[in-house]
Amino acid sequence: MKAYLATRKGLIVLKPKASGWEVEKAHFDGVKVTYVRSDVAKGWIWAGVNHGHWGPKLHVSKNKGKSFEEIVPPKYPEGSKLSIKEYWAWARDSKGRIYVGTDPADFFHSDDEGKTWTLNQSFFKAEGKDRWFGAGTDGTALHSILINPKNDNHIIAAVSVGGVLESKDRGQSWKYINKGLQADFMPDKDDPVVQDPHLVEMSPSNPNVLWQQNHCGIFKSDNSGELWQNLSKAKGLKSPFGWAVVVDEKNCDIAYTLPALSDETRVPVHKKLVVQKTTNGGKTWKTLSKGLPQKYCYDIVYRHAFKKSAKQLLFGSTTGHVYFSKNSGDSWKQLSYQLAPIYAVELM
Amino acid sequence: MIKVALTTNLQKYFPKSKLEIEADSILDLLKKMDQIELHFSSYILEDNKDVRKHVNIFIDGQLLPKTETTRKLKNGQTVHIMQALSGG
Repeated sequence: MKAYLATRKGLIVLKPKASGWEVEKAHFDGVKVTYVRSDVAKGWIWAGVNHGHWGPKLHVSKNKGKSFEEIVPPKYPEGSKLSIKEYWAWARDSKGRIYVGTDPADFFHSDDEGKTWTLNQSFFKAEGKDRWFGAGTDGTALHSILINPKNDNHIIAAVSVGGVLESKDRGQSWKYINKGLQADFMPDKDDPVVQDPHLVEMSPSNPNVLWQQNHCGIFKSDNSGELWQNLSKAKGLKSPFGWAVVVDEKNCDIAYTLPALSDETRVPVHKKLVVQKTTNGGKTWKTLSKGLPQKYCYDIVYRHAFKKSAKQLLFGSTTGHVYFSKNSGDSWKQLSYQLAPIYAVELM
Repeated sequence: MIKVALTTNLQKYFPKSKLEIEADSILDLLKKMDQIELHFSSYILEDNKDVRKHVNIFIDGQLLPKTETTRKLKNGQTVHIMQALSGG
């Protein structure tokens, strides 16, 4: 198992050693790496980078992070005035099709490992898309692509600020599944189109169960997004605001979040870094803080920067710190003190 | 032939800093540079073929407007490609 860190100044590969972890290699020195994702079926690692001057690029490593090769990037069709700014999501279905989510929020697929790409026209023309708007970026971003492990035709995609959309025909058509979400910042908080999911995760053991860290709370759906339950007032929850959520691989009622103070301040609650864990589907939350800084801490963890693999949990913060737990979050160890801001992490 | 000069920062992504290429427009030039280094034009152009916001192209010392990548080139001209500097 290695750890992959997408940072403001490159991609860092960590490997375990007897006393902890060490840097194995650093790639893309000085370049913003916006996203990293494991390709479990192939044993590959995909990375989205943004050169600033030279634009966004998509790379893949086929040797577990020893080297990366550049892939022909998805593009809008000839004649379009749009250009991709960043890559924010990646997924592969069981038939080998790969999907990429972008800023601006769009959805591309490739059936030949990235040699050619197709823009999903139905998503491109989604009703109400003209009402979506920027959140952490100037424009919209498609940050979550979830493929039902039991059914490749069933895809869920989420956009900030846009909402959650579902396709049951492998992307031929889409519908919003935002019922129950509440966009407190909108004139109509029940707006069926404009909601702000920060990240949506699908339970690997029960794909009907979706978890969502939203700008306006923590939500869960037991019926594949038909209706979302607001868990924000659950007992023990420090804050409903944050970016990341991870779901246990075997138990759909176990989830973890990293609470932050909304919206205006964006710092950890009481400046203490904690992880919150529920084992009962979000009814109650436990606070995990052993080994995490509890004074004047400004670590914020973005949506793609928290990952779980069995009992191992890893997250990286905007202050360049990496924290690791090998016992399901009961205790934590800080792995780095001096990295650049971290946008995404992966374990594979 | 068109003389091409690349800024140091671009040489990480293109194997030669100075070269001569036969081309009749900026788009044609970049297409031929793609044949040398597969993805090169995507470093210079937006998807819509405009010059990227933070990239500058000069033809014989004159800055090319971002939207004029179809601009014709004449034999013997020199094209400089570099990042647009902004800030300290």
